Amino acid sequence: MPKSSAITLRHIAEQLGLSRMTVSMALRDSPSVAQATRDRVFRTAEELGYTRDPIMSSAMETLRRSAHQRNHVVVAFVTHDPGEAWREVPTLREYHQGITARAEALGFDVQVFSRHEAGVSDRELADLLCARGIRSLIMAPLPPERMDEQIDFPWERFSAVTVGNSLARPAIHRACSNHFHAAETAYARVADRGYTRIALAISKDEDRRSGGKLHGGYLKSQADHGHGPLPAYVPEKWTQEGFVRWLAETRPEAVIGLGASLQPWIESAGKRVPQDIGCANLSLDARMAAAGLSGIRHLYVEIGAASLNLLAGALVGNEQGPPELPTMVDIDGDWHPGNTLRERD
Amino acid sequence: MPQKDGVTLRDIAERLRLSRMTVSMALRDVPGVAAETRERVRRTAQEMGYRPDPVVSRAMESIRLSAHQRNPTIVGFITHGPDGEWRSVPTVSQYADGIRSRAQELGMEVQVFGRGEQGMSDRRLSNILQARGIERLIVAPLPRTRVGERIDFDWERFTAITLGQSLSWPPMHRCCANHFEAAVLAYHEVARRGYRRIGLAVSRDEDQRAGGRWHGGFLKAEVDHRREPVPVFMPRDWTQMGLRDWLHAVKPDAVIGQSSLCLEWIRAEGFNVPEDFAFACVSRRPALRAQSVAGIRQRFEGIGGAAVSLLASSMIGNDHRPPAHPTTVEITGEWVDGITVPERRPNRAGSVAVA
Repeated sequence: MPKSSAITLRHIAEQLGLSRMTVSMALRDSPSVAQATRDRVFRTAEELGYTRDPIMSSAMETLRRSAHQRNHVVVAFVTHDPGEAWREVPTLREYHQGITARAEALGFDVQVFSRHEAGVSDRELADLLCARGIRSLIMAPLPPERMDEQIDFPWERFSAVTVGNSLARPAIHRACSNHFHAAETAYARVADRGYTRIALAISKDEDRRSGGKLHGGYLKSQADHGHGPLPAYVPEKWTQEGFVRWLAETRPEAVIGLGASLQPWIESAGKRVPQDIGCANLSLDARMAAAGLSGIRHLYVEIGAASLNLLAGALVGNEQGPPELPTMVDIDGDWHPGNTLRERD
Repeated sequence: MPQKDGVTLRDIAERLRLSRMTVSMALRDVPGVAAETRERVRRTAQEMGYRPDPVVSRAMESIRLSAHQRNPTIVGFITHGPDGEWRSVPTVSQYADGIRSRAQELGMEVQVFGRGEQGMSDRRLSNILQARGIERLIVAPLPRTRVGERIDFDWERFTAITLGQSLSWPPMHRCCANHFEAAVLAYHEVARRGYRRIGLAVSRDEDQRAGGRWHGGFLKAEVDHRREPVPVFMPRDWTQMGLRDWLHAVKPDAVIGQSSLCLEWIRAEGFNVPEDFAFACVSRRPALRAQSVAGIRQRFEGIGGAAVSLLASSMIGNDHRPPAHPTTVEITGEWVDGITVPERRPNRAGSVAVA
């Protein structure tokens, strides 16, 4: 490993007969240094093998800034609903909780911004963030019905990450639930109770949102357990009529699915849960878990925290704009036993 | 900015009548401070609303370190064989390249350590790392023959990230290839070149190493493409004879296989690729490049680089000891064309001919 760390600003300054301040400003690409000088400094720095210490230099920057304003690094949590509406969504509340807790540990501040304020475009929101010196953000997941929405954001000005799978473009770092693991775990726990005709019911949107992993994990588990294939209900339009018809045709002993409507719909078909049909949910929010539903409880708080870690990594590396190699952090959920599956005979 | 500003280490130290150094060490969880004192300092810091300035406190640590040794932060890359054996493993040396170049960008230094070098035990190596002040580790994947092995380090002392899926203990953050996406993408690329009867041939062990994601991705892609299911070849005993029998029984027009060995066996059994059927690799090893085999090229360098970034992010947080919720970072590979999967066009008779 070359010990280029021994090369300091002073070396470059001496070699070029410039002041250290000029070299420092040139390396920060300050317009107050002539372009020709900046080029010369860059070239020399490269020749000498100068590498800036990223932690030190961002620390210096923070210090420089805080001389004027004693601010912490501010992270924007950008939501898609008007005003405080995000607080009504349990998942978003948990993401926010994790982001805030982790931010506090690292000494960052979190502020929530909405993309949905009247008359404010995405571009204007971006300008506003920049004007406040906010250059790092966590994009909340898009609501299910708005998954194809384009976000007209000048990404190159920000270090940005997202939580959940819904934001498809641009490809930025993301933290999300491990959907494959969720489907595998749910299937295994349902099979543990002695069920063999285990069917899957999720909307096409949810399937896409999971990157196909819910369905993939289900199919893999079915093959591993040697259970016969059952037609899955993965419709473009998620309707009660469609579901009830599918239920009558497929006659599953247990349904693995998503959404609060699952159990009422099964009951609307004249079946009791769990006496007639068992039911496991692939994503329980706090309310559903408290109501005693069996299924997977995703660790949204931890996912929020992981997204902040990703952001911190991007900040240390001084990454702005969509990264060359977007990474995805998967976090395994927990099984919540509940009482919508029968006990083993 | 709402901020209980002005609470410094000095304030905490004065309140508790401790030295600033003790307070600083207690907050950073550095050994040498009694557990009781540490607890007292933490409680007081919390009560007083003390918040570390992230970047600055890291920088302070850098300065403290460099007062003794004018060195950048060191990342230990832990390999599993003596004498630079890892260099001969193409994936591991690609990981290492990625680690090196990202570390250099971030001003960190990489040092490679081989477990078992000169008969050294894990405990001893763990002590040496500690003595040298190396707290950030990237652990290479275990060789195939040693899966399940435990590494007897004092894990509480390190922030560690492992590469690939092979290391199962202790719970650790992980960077690996997105195997699910690889299988889906391989199927999709083969299907869109006109192949109808696509089979999967991977050993059960290797699929398990990939977390079952190859099989899962394959099944999902098969359903999405509305294809009649083709029985997979995924045996515990991965043999040339088994593969031959499966090929004869299933008659695929394309095979998604795990490795170059798979292709060698196919050829040794007298099949011609791509004349008899196409072949794509679900995780193309660097060695396959020369042979122009189509398939998914995993970005091992990118995975190594991501591990360094992840280390850098946990550096600011000072997160030692195994994490309560280990995370997996996945990086998606890319499809690479090759002569083994040529485009097919339907001919007049309705059957398909190799273009």
